[in-house]
Amino acid sequence: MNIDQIIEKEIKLLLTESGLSKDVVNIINSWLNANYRIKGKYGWAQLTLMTCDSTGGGLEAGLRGAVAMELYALAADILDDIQDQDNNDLPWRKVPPAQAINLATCILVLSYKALSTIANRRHLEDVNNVLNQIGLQACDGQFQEFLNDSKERISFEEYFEIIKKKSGGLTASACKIGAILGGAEETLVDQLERFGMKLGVMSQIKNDLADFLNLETKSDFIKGRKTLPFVYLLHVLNGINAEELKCLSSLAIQGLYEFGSKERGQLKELVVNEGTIHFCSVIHEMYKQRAMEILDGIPISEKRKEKLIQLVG
Amino acid sequence: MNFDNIAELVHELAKNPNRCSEIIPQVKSVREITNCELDVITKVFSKEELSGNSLAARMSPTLYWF
Repeated sequence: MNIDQIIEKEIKLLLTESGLSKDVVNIINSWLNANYRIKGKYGWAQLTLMTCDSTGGGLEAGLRGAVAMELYALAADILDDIQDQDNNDLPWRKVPPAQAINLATCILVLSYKALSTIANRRHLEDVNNVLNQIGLQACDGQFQEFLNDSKERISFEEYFEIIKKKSGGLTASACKIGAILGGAEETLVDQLERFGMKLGVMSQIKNDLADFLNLETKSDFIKGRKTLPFVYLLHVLNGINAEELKCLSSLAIQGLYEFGSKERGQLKELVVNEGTIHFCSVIHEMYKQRAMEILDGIPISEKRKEKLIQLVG
Repeated sequence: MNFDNIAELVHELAKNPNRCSEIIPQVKSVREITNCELDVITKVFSKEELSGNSLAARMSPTLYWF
């Protein structure tokens, strides 16, 4: 069996032992599959296992934490999509919100149940604390984001504070859980957590830019969401261009009908001409360098670091 | 990392793509941008023959979480 099959088997076992009805199990399985089609198979579990492996932990040591992280991230995705009214094509957006919230809660509880068979009590307690802390942080970050939607502009610092709580926090947690279960010492756990944070910020910058360039289907700009490209444009534009951006933003918030192909073209022109893609690339590259510096300073063999280095690219 | 200064410099370079080699050395003494950060900016602008979309596509990580 390859790693994906082992993770799948562990999730199936968890669902079988959960006592959940067949209907619920089937829906959770189909939602897991829907997520994989978009994000690649078991990305969260794999990140957790990669980190566990890098610290010398075996598959058996990291597996339950990996499954817990995968389920936790799925629950977080579902709740995020409901709150943001985003990703309408996904199955949890096609059922009434009450059902989606109910099943997201169920998946979240399953995530904690996955941990319950970890034999090392100290590891169990530490991993539980990681999940509790990221849950609180992510809710806090999401709430700040709601508040920022109605603001005219936010600072770069405010932007990074939020994505560190949300995206960065989730990848940092996956790495931290992997390191804890791998039996790493505290310093190494901290280093891998910091590495995970950089990785999450890099991913979010990439995601923000892709969304901003994909105005036909994504709704960040329409919601007034302060993603990095938008924060950048609000910061650097002045005079006529700033007025144009403000006007486009107001039209977009009124709905896609008001924000037609002409307006999309105008925004795309601002993105390209004003250096938005260059800025996102620069910040992304800076985080990449920091991630590499962290890996350089980690006292584990190059062979064990290899997969983590490949992740950064 | 002083994001405001980096944003302003990137904007200036994007508006004057032919003057990068002139602007970047001047910046060293004026703005709060480290040599390391300047190296990254230079590196990104040295790929300016690429379209914006190509630049975006070069961003890692390849595993997609968000």
